[in-house]
Amino acid sequence: MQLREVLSWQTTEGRPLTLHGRTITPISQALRVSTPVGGFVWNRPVAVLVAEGDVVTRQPIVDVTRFALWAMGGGAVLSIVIAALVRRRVRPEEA
Amino acid sequence: MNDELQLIMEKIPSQREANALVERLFVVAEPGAVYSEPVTQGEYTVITAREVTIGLGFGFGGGGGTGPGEDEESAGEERASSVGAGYGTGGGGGGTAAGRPVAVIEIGPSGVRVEPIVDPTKISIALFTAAGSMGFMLLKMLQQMRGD
Repeated sequence: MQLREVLSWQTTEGRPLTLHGRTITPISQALRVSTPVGGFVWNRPVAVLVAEGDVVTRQPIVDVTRFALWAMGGGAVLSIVIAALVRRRVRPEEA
Repeated sequence: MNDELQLIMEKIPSQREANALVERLFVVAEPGAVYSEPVTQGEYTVITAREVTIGLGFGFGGGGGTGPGEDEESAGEERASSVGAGYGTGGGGGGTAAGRPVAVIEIGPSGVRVEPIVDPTKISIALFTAAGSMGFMLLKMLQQMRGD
């Protein structure tokens, strides 16, 4: 079994929709994990492509909630690292 | 013994069926699972975008064995002339699925707008947890510096 068969990260375009002279194509990104004893899928919206005549613009879809959660998680990890470093610096002085 | 093995193998679901089940799971990986059908009201059309997470795991197995017959074993007499046999199979599985709205795509005469959806409940729970852990670490750090 190859790694590509087990783990894949794919970007897929959805069905285009034409409205008000614009063609809107949604794009999603999926992480697929497939093993003989189960599987996992994480699928998220990434952007929409807006085609107006010859001009194609990409409007990203920002997941504000996930961004906030990652920022808080990062802050918590950073505080733990700083606390550990301070503790290490204080200990030799005590000795 | 070969008959018993055959019987056990027949009772256990085949790996092909299990793979088919996992393949059905990957329908969620299609963009149709993330973007809703467009809803039109007047000149405006709205499409919702969501994040989808789904997981599934399962396992199955079986086994069997042979031994002395019940009567001979309890009586402690000479080795069994008849042989007892038993076998068993089992399996189990579990899964999880979650979805969360991420944004609303609004298509109108003036253009296309992507409006993010913020989940205040999730953010506030994470904020309190992070602030609690950071406060705890700060307290420990201060105690350490004071020499407690």
